[in-house]
Amino acid sequence: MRLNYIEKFLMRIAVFQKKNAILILILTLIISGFLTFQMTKISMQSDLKEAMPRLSMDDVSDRVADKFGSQDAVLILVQLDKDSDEVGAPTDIRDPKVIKFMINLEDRLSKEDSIDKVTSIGTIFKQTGIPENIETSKLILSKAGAESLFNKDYSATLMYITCDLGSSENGVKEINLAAQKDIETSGLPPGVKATVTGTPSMRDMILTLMKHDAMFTLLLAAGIILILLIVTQRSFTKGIIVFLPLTLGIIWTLGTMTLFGIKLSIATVGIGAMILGLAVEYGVFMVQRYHEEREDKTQEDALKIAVGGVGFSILGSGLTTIVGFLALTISVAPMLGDLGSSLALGISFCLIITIFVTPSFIILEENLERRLTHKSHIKQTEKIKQHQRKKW
Amino acid sequence: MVGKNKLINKYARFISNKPAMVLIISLVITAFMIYGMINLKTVNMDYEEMLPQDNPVVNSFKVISEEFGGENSAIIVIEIEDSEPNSNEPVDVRDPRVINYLDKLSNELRYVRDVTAVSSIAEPIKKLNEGHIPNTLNEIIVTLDNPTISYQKNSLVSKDSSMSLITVKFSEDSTDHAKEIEKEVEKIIENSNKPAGISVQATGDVLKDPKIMRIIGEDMSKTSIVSLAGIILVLLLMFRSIKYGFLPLTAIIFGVLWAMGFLGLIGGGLNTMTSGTISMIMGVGIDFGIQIIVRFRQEFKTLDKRSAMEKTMNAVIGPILITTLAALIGFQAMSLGELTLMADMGNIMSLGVFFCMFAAITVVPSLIVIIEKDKANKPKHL
Repeated sequence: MRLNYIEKFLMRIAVFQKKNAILILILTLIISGFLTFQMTKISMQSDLKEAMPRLSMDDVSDRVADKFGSQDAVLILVQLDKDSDEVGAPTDIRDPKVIKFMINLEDRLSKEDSIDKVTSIGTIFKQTGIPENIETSKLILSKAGAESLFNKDYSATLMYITCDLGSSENGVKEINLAAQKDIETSGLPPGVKATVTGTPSMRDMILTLMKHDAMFTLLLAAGIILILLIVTQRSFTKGIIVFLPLTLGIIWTLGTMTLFGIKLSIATVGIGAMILGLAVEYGVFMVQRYHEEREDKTQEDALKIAVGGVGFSILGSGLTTIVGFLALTISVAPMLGDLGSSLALGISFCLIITIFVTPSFIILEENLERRLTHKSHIKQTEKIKQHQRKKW
Repeated sequence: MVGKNKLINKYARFISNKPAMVLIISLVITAFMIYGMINLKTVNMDYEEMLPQDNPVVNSFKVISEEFGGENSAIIVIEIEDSEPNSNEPVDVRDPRVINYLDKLSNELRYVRDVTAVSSIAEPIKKLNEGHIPNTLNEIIVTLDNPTISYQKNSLVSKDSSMSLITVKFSEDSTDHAKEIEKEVEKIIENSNKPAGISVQATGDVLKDPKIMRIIGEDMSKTSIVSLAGIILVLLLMFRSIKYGFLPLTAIIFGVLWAMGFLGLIGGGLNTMTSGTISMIMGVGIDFGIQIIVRFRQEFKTLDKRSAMEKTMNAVIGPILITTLAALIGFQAMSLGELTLMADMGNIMSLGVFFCMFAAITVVPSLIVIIEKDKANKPKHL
């Protein structure tokens, strides 16, 4: 039988794995322990703009943001509550009661340390004072040309809060809390509601959801795939052996991402589930082939064929998958690039673990099972002997 | 060899003995899917739709986008350029030449398709000066100091007076005419005879969307070609044979065609996020073809081609089905989180992997049996 160099090399590896299964297990545990510690420090990127392709127009937008400080403004949407049945509630957002609230809110927010500037219809009426009636209010607003602060049917208005949030997650949370507190103490008229929103608040919300989704999707996929493996392998331990490289692969990937400063973004939040789904085939083919060969061969021979034959084919298929993912790194969309490089890293680790670590696990599992079966066989024989002695 | 599963065994025997029939059926399916591919659309990404809809922060953001024109707006940015010393060029956007230019540009922009409102600082200046723009910079500065227009001044003229904005709002229909709007705005700016010493640039979602759509198309071709070239290289190095290097490719060629055709038939499309799925599907889908080829080559050393294929299919179909199912679970899990940004990608990847698997167990084995020639001195049967 003619073998290529890779198959010959993999067969030699198989012999080493058979002889040094425990050493390989200890090394794997050390590396996994270190990377698990790193994994816990992974940071997250919640800015959607960072994920999109960068156009020359974005430079223009950035310059506008520098000069006007409006792009990342926290917004407070003040709108008529359509579900409210309060008597005497405003029916037009230009109502003097709403204007009074806006001036109060603007004053309170301006006093917050972290806030640089607040702009709203309150800014206009600070100069002229609170109008006596809605007609005066309309007249002043029309002169000031403040149409852009209202929607078409005058049921909502906006307040812009400009502040330096920095890169910390806490900055947005602090502003949100301060705004919420000031809304409550500024005399919000009945029948009117105010909500804090805007890009920073959306980022804060996305960050919270990302943390939840990363865990949820991973655990969901892991649970279903593990059950699938146990059922299809018709053995709990064999199912675990196929599943183990995936678990280690994810730990190694997230740990390495932390070491290289790669953040978990909205595009890569689901990589755990994707790696589980994609890399499962390597372990399935390896375990299946080993047991197929084991029917009429010794442990070492079966392992040599499995690692040599399947190792060669999964090396090829793994490399093509990695190439497919790495192709995304040339994409103009950073989110695709991040996704491609993270998945390529994940598949590489799963491939390395399946070829270099899983065979040792297969041997250890088989030896353990044989030892347990042997012990229970001895116990059973003892019982039969005792029974026979009693009988005699 | 008798397979563990009767159905798999039957299929393995069928494909080994009737490869031409399987290939013809595959070609008929392909013709049908090509029709679907023609209808495949390139669509814009709507982030807000991908966020939880019952969240007050998201709902308020949506109201702002829809009712305050965040989504359907453009900004024309007029900036003072560095000028030569002692030149006569404007050094302040409040210069009457710049204000007159802003006025002229704003009036022309009002006639662009789907425009609902245009705002520039020229408008309140004219209002406060009985419809005229003053002739001197000092007069304009005095006008802008009027407290009744302080809001417009702050939002349309930068503090250092080096930049002024024209904001253009569009109706909701503008998303359907983004390409025409982009061309019209570019044409107006180009033919606007701007005064020397200032630069004029446009930005905003309405103008950005068509550019992003063009990029998606180019990006998709670029990543797919690189992915395909990389895969071919790995296959040639792996098999060191042109024939076996290209045979697994049929799994991804047919698989991607079928997946994209099916997507087109059900009215789906590709966006920025999903444009990269083709290269990913190719990378993942090729695996099934490789597993079949590697196993077939091993079996073909001792068996004739039909028996080798029967044994190969009996051995690999089970693991292939399990791995496809596991991959589908992984991809579908992504759509069950609260952030569904990745759901579209998960769905398209699922389609791609499923169809690549289907092509791998139909097209690849039938082509191998048709192309491969039996060598002498081999036992005919298992």
